[in-house]
Amino acid sequence: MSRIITINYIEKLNEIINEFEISPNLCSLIEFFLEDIQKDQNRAGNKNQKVFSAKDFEKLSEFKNLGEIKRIFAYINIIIKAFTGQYLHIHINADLSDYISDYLITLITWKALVDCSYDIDYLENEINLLKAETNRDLIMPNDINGHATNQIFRKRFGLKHKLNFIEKIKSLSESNLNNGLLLNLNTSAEVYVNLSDFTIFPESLNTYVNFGKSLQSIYDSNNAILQNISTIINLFPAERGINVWYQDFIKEKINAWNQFPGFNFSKVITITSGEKTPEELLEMYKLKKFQAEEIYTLFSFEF
Amino acid sequence: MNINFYKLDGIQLLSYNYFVAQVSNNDLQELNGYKIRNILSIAFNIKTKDLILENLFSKNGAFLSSETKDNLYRCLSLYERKELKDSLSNYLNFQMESEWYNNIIQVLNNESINTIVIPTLILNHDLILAQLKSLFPRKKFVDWFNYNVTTEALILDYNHAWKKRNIFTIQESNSKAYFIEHFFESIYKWKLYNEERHLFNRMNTQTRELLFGKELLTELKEKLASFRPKNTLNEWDVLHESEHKNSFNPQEEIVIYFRTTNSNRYRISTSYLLVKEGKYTIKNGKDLVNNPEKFEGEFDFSNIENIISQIDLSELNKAITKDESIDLIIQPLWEKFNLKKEEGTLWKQLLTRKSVENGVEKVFSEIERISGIKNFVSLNTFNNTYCNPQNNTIIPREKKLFKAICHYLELDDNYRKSIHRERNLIGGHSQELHGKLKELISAIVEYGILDKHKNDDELLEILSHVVDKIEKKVDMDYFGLTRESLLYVCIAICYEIIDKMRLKPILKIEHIIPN
Repeated sequence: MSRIITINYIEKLNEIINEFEISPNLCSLIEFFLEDIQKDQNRAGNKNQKVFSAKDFEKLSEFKNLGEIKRIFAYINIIIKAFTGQYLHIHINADLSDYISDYLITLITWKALVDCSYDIDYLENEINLLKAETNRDLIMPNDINGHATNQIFRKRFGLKHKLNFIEKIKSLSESNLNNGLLLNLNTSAEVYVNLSDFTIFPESLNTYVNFGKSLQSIYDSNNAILQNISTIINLFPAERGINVWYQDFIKEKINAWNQFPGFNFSKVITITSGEKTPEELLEMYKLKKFQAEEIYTLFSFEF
Repeated sequence: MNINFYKLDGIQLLSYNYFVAQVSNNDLQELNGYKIRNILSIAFNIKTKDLILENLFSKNGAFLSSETKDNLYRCLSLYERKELKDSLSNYLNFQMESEWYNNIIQVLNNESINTIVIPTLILNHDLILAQLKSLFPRKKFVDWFNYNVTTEALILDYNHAWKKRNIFTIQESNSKAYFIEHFFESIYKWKLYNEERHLFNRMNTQTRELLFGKELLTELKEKLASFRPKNTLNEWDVLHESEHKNSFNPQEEIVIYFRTTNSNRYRISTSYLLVKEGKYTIKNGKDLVNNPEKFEGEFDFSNIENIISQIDLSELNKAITKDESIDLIIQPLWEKFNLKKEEGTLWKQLLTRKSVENGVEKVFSEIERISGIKNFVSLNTFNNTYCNPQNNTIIPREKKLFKAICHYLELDDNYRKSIHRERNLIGGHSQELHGKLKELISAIVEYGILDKHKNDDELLEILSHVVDKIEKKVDMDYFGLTRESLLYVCIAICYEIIDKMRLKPILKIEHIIPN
């Protein structure tokens, strides 16, 4: 640890972090997934009928013992809450293992889910449709093979999960309609957020999870989505290679969007990670790639 | 990890200080860089000392870069080189007579350490390594690249720069490090302090202040201030910081595809001349990798380092001499001082005359006073080299010193410039010249001269509007330029660039970051 860091500083940091509590709603969502996945895993029948993989259960079961991840998660949330400006870059100055960054992606996304609000009519409509579909008798064709049978069962179990998932969202979310969140993730992050193809966020929410698409593409696919968004979080953005997407969410571009009526992206948070030497950090501060007003670095001695 | 510094007595450092002054006066920074200090640290006996000195002062030696060797042989006379070598040899004698070696032996015995970390250049030098093996029998020698951090070792190679492993990253290890105090202690303390300073600067943000309170951040700031070393940082250490890093860190690279299957690989620091729709610009590898989408499919490129290394210096020299005003000043000097060209360099003939008239000591001390440089060379060397018109060195390495000599001899500034040109352009391509030409090309490109390049008359017209701006960006002294000759040089450089550049399209850019 650095020689200038005092006991007082560490005590204060612990105090701030200990004050942060993972909301009961987020814990409840994790419990919900645990139960649903466990039920799915315990269900008798062919393994190809299962909606989730066994790994998902293992991952969620570990949640209670994730001290370091919870600490980083808490610290990030505290910083975002305290930041009073418009553009913030949080850099975690450590080479996070894939395991830690995957967990952070999951936690941040699920927190966004429990913090969001929704269009009640739309959600009710979706629930009714799913109820009708899952209550219908299963009709199996006469000449069906084993694979097709498994697929039909999997779909039925999946839709039941989807129904439970949407009902869960309905029970958790608190309405704050004008405070939508756009969460930008890399395409590869989809597996950590959507545990199955039946766990995709409904479009009636004001949290939109975007996997590498540009703002224009989101707008083109559904122009209502962005009008509810006030906060954008860029989580571990792809900065190079063919899937690069960070440039679309920097100050210059966001300001341009804010010129149009109906758009008000009032906070843009970019979260990156990677251990940098003091010189590299200085370079990062000088370069201001994400055009943030402030760069807040989390040092390894802080988590 | 335990870091220790061995102190040699002040009196023993006199010859080292003299060596450092000589190195400084002759602009031979590398001789006092980290790399050479680490090598000098392992001079434990006469044989290792002689082998090190032989390598340092040989044209074929591997310890110094070709640039420094070139400067050593091109710009220093035999006497000056001998004097430099002797002062270093004297210092190394003191180092050998000190308790440095015994100290190391004692640590190895007391701590039962079997591995010693030494510089790579020493590890690769069979004769020196053989000597070390006889001085430290049954010990294993490794360099930083092969050092296994889980092994307890004695580290003799100072390294705070390699990102993968250095004396800071192995704090948890049981190894011991021993360095000579006057070589490394100051930089070590400054490195510690600067790391903390960097950290504090990164921490000192508005949101952190909101979260932690101003008082806590002030507490950290005060603690930081208490770590600031009392001594100022040696200028050599500042100069060699980046070089030290480069010697350990594998370089980042950039790959530019100019066809779907063909690409070139360059160092990240390489600069490129880029052109798009007839407009030229200069960017380096970092610029390209930071925003590849701005350049891919948009620009054509040519490696500027290649263009510079192919520039025909005689064309440049011809361009400068087109401005006859310099010759008009120099020619009459022979007559004015009643000297003959065939009897040797003009300034040396004048200096010899002054020495005869006033005594060499007086001339020497007068130049010391004007230049502000004490002991710029020994009196003996001054007499044999500077006051010897037949000696073939052109001018002293240190610009300030030659300026003082010309001032003392009441020689016109244009004379000094023409002699600078002689040294810098006639001697062929060097790293220094490369840098100066890059500055000149950058200025030419920046002011759009290359964009509008058509013919000499048009160029002259364009240049006449910006020549005063270019003048501020170019080392006029180095090339021996007047404003008039700068115009001709810019034109010559434009032609050279057009002739030497090999433009290729930028299709794709890849950034190669070593582990």
